[in-house]
Amino acid sequence: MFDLGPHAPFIWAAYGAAAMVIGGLITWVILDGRALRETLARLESEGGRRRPVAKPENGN
Amino acid sequence: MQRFANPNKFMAFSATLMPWLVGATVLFFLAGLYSSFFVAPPDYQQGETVRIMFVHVPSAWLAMMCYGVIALSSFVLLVWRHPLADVSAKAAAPIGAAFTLLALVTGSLWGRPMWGAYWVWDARLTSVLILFFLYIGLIALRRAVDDEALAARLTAILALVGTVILPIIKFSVEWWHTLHQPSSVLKIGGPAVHSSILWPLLVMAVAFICLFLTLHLAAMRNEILRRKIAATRIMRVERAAAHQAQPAE
Repeated sequence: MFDLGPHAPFIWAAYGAAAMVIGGLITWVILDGRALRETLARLESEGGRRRPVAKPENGN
Repeated sequence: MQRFANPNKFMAFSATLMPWLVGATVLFFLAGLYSSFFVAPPDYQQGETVRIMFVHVPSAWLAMMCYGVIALSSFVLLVWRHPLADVSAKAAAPIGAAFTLLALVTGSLWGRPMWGAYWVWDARLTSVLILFFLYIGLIALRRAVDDEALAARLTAILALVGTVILPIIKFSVEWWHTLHQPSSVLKIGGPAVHSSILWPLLVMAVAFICLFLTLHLAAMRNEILRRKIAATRIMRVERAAAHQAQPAE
């Protein structure tokens, strides 16, 4: 690796912090989006199933 | 702007835009990181620690830019009640808080070898710390109020009041005697930084801006989905209540 002089730990720590913060933001956005899409898909599929199930009860 | 007031249109438009933004972010980061480590020479005073500037300065710029986006969105919400304005403000707050934190951390890591201290109660550092607390306040206020519309209005008002911090941050290095150096890129008379360091810095700044646009757009899409889920749940509860209220035949 290249020589970053006596202050190398501070430089690497700064880039490490940047990687952690940016990585954390990306992970948050991706996981949040995935969970929301799954929830919406589940709600829509449940809604689609429940309506026809509810009809016979209604008719009685 | 009203063209994208419909969330469905915004979702379609943002889905088209997203791959281009991701591509631009990756390309600019690759170019920025390469030039930061292999092109930019050590500074004649700071030595190799100048490389911290390539992440610190764009983070600090974004910390302020993101707050500007929140303030603008809040203004649009309060004046025109644009449906996506609150989505934009809410989505930008955690991203702005993260970049402000990054600016503070990388600044501290630069300050230790250069100033001999991780932290000093300097006007610039303190005002950026206040900006970070303001972001946390915006997030906390929104979470504290259950009524979504009321929370949106209250956070918009707080965000607009908080804009007073932006000129304080910008001019703190001129209004007070600070340890933090005065502006050396965005200044009257042009940048005071040599082009060999300025260009890598600008490429990294563009990379950070592309990253912010990507994250903000993605977070806005998530927020629209969250509201759609909430609306679907309310609709189902109302439908069930209406169904129960119907007299049995």
